[in-house]
Amino acid sequence: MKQRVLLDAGFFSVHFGGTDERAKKIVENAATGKLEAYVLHLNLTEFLYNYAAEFGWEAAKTKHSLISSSLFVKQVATTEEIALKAAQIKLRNTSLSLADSYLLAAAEILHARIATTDSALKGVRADTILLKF
Amino acid sequence: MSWEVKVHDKGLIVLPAELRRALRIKRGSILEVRREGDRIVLKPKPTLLESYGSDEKVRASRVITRIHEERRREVEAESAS
Repeated sequence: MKQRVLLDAGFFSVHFGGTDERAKKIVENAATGKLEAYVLHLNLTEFLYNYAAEFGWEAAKTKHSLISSSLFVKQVATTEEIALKAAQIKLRNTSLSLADSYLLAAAEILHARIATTDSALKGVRADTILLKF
Repeated sequence: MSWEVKVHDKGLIVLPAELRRALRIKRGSILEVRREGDRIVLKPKPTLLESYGSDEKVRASRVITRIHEERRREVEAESAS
């Protein structure tokens, strides 16, 4: 099975900001079919409104278009299975945000590593790719 | 400069390698297809791959800080309640 990577909200800012070459490598490998990249709608929303707060809504829409037109980044909607798993994770780890809990739940279900800037996730899943920013 | 290409099944065409190299068109690149009268215009669209480092680092880092702060505030608010 191909390696799967679930991209957190901060991943896209690392990529667009060019702060960690590993983000570029993940995108390259996804584009050439060497790995499968996923993003949760929830994390995409998080990225977009925080991006818009810094760069404006038009710039955020441009970035959204870039992400959406890249068919190799598969967007994942929240399912009941993810919601239930996220609730269990949140119950066990009260110091995690809801977004973190959803991300961990989806990663478990998809059998994916997480690529994030959030160090809280590294503490829960050792195989997490913690990106520099 | 112009080339002749053959149209295959389902309208598939192969862009000449020289053209692909010159315009950095790779597997996975997206092309905008536009009709102009009897012409077909193909224009490469910027891709996620090519957009690495397209933003100012400082501002990109601020976006990430915002995301983290929001998550932290949420957890703190829950702990306080």
